Amino acid sequence: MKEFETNLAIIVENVSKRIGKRIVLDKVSLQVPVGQIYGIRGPNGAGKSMLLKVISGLVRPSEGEVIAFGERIGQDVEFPKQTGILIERPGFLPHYSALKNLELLASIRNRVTRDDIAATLYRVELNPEDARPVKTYSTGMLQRLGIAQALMEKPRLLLLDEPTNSLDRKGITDIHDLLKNLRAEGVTILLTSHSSEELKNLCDAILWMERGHLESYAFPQP
Amino acid sequence: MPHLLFFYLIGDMAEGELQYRGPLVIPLVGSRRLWWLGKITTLFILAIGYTVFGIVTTIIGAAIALPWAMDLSPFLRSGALWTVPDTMNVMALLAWFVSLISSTLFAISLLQITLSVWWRRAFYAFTSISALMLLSWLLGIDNPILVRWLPGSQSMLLRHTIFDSGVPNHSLAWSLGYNIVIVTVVFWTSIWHVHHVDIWNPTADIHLKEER
Repeated sequence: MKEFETNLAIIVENVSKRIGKRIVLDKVSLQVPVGQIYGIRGPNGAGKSMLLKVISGLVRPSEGEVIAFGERIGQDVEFPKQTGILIERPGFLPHYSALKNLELLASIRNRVTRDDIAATLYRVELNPEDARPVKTYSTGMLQRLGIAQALMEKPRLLLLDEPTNSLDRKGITDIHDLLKNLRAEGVTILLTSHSSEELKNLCDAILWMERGHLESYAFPQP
Repeated sequence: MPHLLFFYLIGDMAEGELQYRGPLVIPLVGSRRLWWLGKITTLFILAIGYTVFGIVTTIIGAAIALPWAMDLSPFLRSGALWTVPDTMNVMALLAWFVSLISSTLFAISLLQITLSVWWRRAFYAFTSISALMLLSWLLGIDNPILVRWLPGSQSMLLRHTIFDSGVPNHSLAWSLGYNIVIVTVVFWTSIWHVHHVDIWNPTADIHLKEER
C-alpha cells in the first residue's frame, strides 16, 4: 500500500486513456478530500464519464495511476473498496422487481440484509414492496434505483455519472438532499453533471473538463 | 446442428454481461478473473448438462418406439457400416459419447466466448465458430487424414479409428487430449485478456463512435 495523505479519498495522477487513435483522457490529475463533493462539468465527449470509469476501476488507464483510500487501483486492488458506482444506465434484470434486483446484487457479497436494501430504497423514494418489474419503470425511477444500488452497501466513496439525469424537479431536490446528508456522514462524492446550477448548489469544488483535459477548478462559496 | 444450437444459446453469456451488467456485477465480485472463472465454470456445467439432456431425451424418445436392450444391436456389430469392437458395450459407448461431445462443446464454446470478449461482439464470435465447425465437418468427409486435426471431428464418435478403419490414428484418447489442449490454451489466454479488459463497450460509446 502506498503512503497517502489520510485526508484524501482519491488521488488521480497523470491519467491518460487512449482508445484507438483517440485520446479520451490526457494527463488528468486530481485530488478529492474525504467527505467532500466534487463535481465535474464539461461538454459531451469531454471525458467526464471516462474519468469516473477509470477511477472506479472499470476502465484501465493507458498511463498514470489512480489511488483510492491509499490503494492503487489495478495494482493493490482491482476496484476501489466500499465504493458505490452509478455510471450510465445500470443493467438491471428487466423482469424482476427493484427489491429482487438489489437482493440479487447484494447476494454476491452478502454484506447487507433485506431490511438494509428496503431502507435504501425508501431513501431514494422507491417502495420496496412495489412488485412491478423494473421494465415498467420510468427513466426517473430507474435512475433512483441506480442510486439505491450505489448506496446499498453503505459506501464511503460514491462515483455518480449525472445522477439527476431524467429526474423531475422534486426528484432532483430529493437527490441533492440525500447527497448532502451523505456528505455530512463522511461519504466522499465525485459526480458529473451538465448543470452548473446543480454543481454550485451541491459541490465543494467544480472541475471543468474539455477534450480529455481537466481545465480548471472552482470552489463555490457556501 | 445441436452443437450450433448450443453455441447460439451461450453466445452472449460473457460479452452481453460485460457490456450491460458488468459495471454492476464485476466490482461486486471484486475481480475480473474471478468473474471469468465463474463464466467458465458455468460453461462447463452447461456443456455437460446439454449433452446429458440431449442423450437422455434421445434414449427416452427411442425407448418409446423401440424395445430397450443393454446389448449393442446386431446391425452395429455386423460391420456393414462401422467396426464395433467386441469389448464395447452400451455403457462404454455412452460414456465415450458424453465425454467427447461435452468436452468438444466446452472447448469450442470457451473459444467462442473468449473471441466474443476479445472482439467485443458476440455475433462475430458465434458466426466464426459456426463457420469453423461447418467447415471442419465438411472437410472431414473426403479427407480421412485430416479428420483427427479438425475441431468438429472430435465429438464424432463414429469417425474415430476404432469404429472407422478408414480414418487413421484418430483414437478416443486423442480427441480428449485435443480438447484439453484447446481448453488449456484458450483458458490461459482468456485469463490474461480478461484481466486487462475494460468493463464497458467502446463500440457503443456515442462520442467514440462519432470519431470513427
